[in-house]
Amino acid sequence: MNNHLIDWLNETAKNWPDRVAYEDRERAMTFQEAADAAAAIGTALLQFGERGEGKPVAVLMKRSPAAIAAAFGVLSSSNYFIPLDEEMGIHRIRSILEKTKPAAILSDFGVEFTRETYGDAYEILDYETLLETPPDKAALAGARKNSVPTDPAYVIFTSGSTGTPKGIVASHGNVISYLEAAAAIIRPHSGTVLGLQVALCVDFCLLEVWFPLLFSCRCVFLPKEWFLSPVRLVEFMRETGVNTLNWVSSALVILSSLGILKKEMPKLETVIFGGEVMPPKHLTNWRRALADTRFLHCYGPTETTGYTTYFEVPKDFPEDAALPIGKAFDNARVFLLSETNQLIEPETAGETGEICVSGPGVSLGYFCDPEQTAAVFVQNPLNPLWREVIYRTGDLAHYDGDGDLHFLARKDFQIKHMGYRIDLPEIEAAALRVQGIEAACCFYIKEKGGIILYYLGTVEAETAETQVKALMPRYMQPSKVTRLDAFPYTESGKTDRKELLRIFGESVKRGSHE
Amino acid sequence: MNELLQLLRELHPEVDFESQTNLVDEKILNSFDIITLIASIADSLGVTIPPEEIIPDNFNSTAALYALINRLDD
Repeated sequence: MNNHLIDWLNETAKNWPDRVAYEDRERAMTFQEAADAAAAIGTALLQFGERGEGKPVAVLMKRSPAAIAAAFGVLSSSNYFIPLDEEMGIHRIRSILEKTKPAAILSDFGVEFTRETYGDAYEILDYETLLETPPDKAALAGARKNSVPTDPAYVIFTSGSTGTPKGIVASHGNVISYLEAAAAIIRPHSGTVLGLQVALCVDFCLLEVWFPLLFSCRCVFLPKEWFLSPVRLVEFMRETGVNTLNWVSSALVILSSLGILKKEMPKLETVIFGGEVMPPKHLTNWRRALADTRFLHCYGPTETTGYTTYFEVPKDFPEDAALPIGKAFDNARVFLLSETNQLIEPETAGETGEICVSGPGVSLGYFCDPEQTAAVFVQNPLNPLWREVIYRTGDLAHYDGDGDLHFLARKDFQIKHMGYRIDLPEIEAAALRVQGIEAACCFYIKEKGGIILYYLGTVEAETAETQVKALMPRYMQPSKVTRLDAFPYTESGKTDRKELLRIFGESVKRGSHE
Repeated sequence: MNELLQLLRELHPEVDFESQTNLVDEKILNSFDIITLIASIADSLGVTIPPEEIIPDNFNSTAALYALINRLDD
């Protein structure tokens, strides 16, 4: 077993130097190239003197193999990386930078452009320039020696309820325990070719980034825009030999909705999906099109590193049955606690409780937020004898007759939309920054796949919509923005969400929810 | 054409669909919008758009989409 993620890179590069590890439409990167790039970047970061080790380094790179090599470079210097993606939008990236105050921003967007866009408070390092650094093996070995498995590897940001993003800190040990547990279930091998669909700023991509190093297999970057040219996408998958997918459910829904599954699909060994509810109709389309493929439905909050539970869809699984999130991966104990913190036994099917997780996947908590960390990373209430930290997910679930877990809902107002975790209050907080909006209330209408924003104020709906959307990444943008003359209130003076939902329902019935 | 414009406006009332010619390239329409559109075009106009016609060029402007629908309808 390894104690540091970079050990895997160096071992695999030694054994399979010329094998391709990561490729996109433009280039292929071998294991040796990845290791060389990591050593050069790592050396350059260490030469920063006082910025040395154990510091956050933002990786703001285009979605490409180079972005992975850049992250490896940060890890080689025993710093930790903060993956950023253009798609997050300027406002969000700025607020993450303000919160983490990175020692440097590693970028391939050009130093000038990056500085103009994100301000001159940061040291901006050009990826290509750093690649020229002659590797200093002794310095890298020294940094490696100083680190332990509990050191952070990355901070991944999700939306936060106060309007500022929340950073989840994962250690080398967290990721190692996850990858080993995931490998036992997914069973990758040297012939595995993963088709990367997600962005590199979410923990979904851990499998695509690290499995190549563990199994000397390959990861192919699927061009995002080709989800709008499905025939080209499928051809590309066939040409590059993609045989394993780890996609957010909505990406599977896109291909199924566009009718491409009836055409020739590449032969797939395994399809892993999760991140949001999978509509049964579309899963059926996939299972019919790919009768020999293993389908794994997975669940896991970023706080517990990657996936935490899985359900392998049996061949005879009924098409209209509710899809479980299944049972725990080997590195996690997953259990349900009732409202009074009593354990709900797997044998008690149907009783609702909160999903709780313990084990080596449980992350280090939230970046620079001890209060929020203390609220959800808590002592296991069932264990009075020693310190056992569990993560309370805030997700409600119950067991079925087979002891498989079924996800029911969020306890609060957090939703999953297009594979992203979104706190509705964050959208409300952003809306309130628009001049002329005095009050805002947000809903998620799951059946419509849409975020609905109601507001009070003087600004016209169209202007409000444009301005609200400019403040947030695409996946957070409300699909409908509607002005009301007044909000309904509950007796305690809170906005009456139930009544607002009813108003929305009425407007849909009238066919005029403008 | 008017029916199509109406379908588009239901999707995004804030967009001027008559003048825009980069609906996909400028990410005004995302993949979920396209899925919704394909379904509503099938429902309201009775035209099925096959996967090989689902490319940005056919969705970048109302005129292009209209031309596609007419071509498929013949």
